[in-house]
Amino acid sequence: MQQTNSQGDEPRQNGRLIDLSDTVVALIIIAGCAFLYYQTTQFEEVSTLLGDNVLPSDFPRLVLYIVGALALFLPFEHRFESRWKKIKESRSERIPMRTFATMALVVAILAAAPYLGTVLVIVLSSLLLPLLWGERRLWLVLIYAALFSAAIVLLFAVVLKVHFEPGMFGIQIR
Amino acid sequence: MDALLTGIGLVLTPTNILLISAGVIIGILVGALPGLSSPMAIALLIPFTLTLDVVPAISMMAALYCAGTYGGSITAILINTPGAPPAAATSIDGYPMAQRGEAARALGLATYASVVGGILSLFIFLFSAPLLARVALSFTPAEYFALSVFALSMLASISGRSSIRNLISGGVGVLISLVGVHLTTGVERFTFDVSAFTDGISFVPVLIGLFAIAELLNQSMTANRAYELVRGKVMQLPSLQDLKSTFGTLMRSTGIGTFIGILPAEGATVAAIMGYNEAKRWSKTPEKFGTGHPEGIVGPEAANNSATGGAMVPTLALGIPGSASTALILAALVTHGIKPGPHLLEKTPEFLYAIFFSMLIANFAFFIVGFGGAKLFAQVTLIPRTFLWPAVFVFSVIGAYSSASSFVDVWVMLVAGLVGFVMLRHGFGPAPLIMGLILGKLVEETFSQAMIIHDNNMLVMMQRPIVALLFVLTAFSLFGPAIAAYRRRRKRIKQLEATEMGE
Repeated sequence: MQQTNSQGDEPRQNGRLIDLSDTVVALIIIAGCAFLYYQTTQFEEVSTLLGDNVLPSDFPRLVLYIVGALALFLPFEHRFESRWKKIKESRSERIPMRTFATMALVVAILAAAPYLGTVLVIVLSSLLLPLLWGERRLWLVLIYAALFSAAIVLLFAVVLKVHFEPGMFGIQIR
Repeated sequence: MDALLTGIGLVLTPTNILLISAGVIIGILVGALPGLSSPMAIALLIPFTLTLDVVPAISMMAALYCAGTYGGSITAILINTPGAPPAAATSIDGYPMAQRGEAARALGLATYASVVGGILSLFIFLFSAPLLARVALSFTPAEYFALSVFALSMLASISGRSSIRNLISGGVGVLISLVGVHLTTGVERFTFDVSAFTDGISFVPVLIGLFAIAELLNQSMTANRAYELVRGKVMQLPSLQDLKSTFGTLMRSTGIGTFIGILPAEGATVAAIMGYNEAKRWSKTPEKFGTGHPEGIVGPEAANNSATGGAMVPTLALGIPGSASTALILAALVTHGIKPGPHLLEKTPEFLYAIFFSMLIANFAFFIVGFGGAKLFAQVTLIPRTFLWPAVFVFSVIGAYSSASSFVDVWVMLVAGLVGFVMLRHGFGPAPLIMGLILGKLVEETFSQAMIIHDNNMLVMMQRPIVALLFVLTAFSLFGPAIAAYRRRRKRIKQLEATEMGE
């Protein structure tokens, strides 16, 4: 995790003209820009009184041009950016199943949140995430889930008066 | 004088002192814990401070910002893992010193340098912010536009993995800030028929998603990592010999850190790296750097903490954030209905004094807390990640939800987190995106106003001297690092060729 003062002073030895992964990243960004540019053509037309001003689509288009133009450099960046090695390293690090499972779990919990209610979301998160991340001391997970959830509910619902959704089970904290 | 007394009065209330103390303790904790960061903590704190008045809310965040920058040095020294990026350079000499049984000395030097650097920079902040604000009062939209473009261009040189990716991230942030109704014409932009987006995408869930959820997913990749603490006695005050030998480095690094902090977008990480490099360059014993040299600890620590005071200068005087953390403080101010900038300091100077005293108290507080409990704070790294990060997730959900009691915001947070995670893997950092998000509206507004004033002609706008100067600086910040790197590369190639010829 140490940071180095890389100022781009390493001569590039990489022979390839373009980097494939960065080309894909650049294409995704350019496609996104094209899509948003299309959206700017769908903006409502403004009255002629305001026609002389900067139009609602002008500035977004300017930003999209700049972002798109910058993306064009990405496939060649490995040839001139000395910190690029770190990007390659972080990109080549394999994403473990646990990360995908964490993504799936948080999406599932949040999708169910309006039905479960806020209290159950807190309890489920503090129960399931530690187990998913490899915590095997079940008794500790149960104690953690109970105490942490209680503390959170007390702090936010009771002290800070944050409104907690009751959900279909009608769990209301006042 | 009245404003000064009012400012002190605003800060010196029991509630405020309590909040500042809480900010310091939270700051040291998140600073010490690898993965957790001050920006993340401030992002999570924003929704819960909405019920507070603006001075206590910002005081708490400012205290957290100061203490969080210092907190990273504890784990950098004791476990060779900087709790926060600004402390990365501290571990180069801090950890070797701790390994040879001088952990207490290393922690003492880091604390002393952080406190002195932080306090000196606060005095610079106190005197320079009103001066800068006075200059900025004469700014027209053209100057403001040029200034905000300059701030965005500085993203090219902030720490990260690539200048181009930083700029793209900044551009994406600007685009997100444009979602919602266009103020001048009332036209809806990029709302995709989601009624919750009509007023724009709220800062808070995006900030929480990018800093907390993206990092949660990042941490899930290394959930089983454990840290090994260097054991030793508690922190000790630096000896007279250490104070004498590091005084020059301390002053130099404080100057560097404050200056870097004042520059828009540049933050404590860049300051620390420069502080370390300059300490080594000016040292009489540069060969000792990397082996546990006191100057190698004082240099980066004085620089990164003095950057906190420096970064508050453009944030309050111009409304242009000086770092990622101050961008979040700026977002908090906006969320509280306050528009930072020269008019704020002109009309309510007591606000400046209140922030100054809050940060001053925070510096003294982390000096006391640090000396008393550095070892204790280092123990937090022993908290299993399997319990720590689920807690961060719960705080994130409640934080995103409570800002507007809306599940749409929770989804915005989640999407921002997932996108942030993918972006992070490909070298696009969250800090530039946040800067773009915060500055986006200002850039567009001032651009529109300036174009109207100058008959839609950029060249007429450029005839204004400050505008021209800022555009020159923009060009320099965009292309300067690339040109310098190219020249260094050419020089090295020539040296290599000369060596080969000699052989």
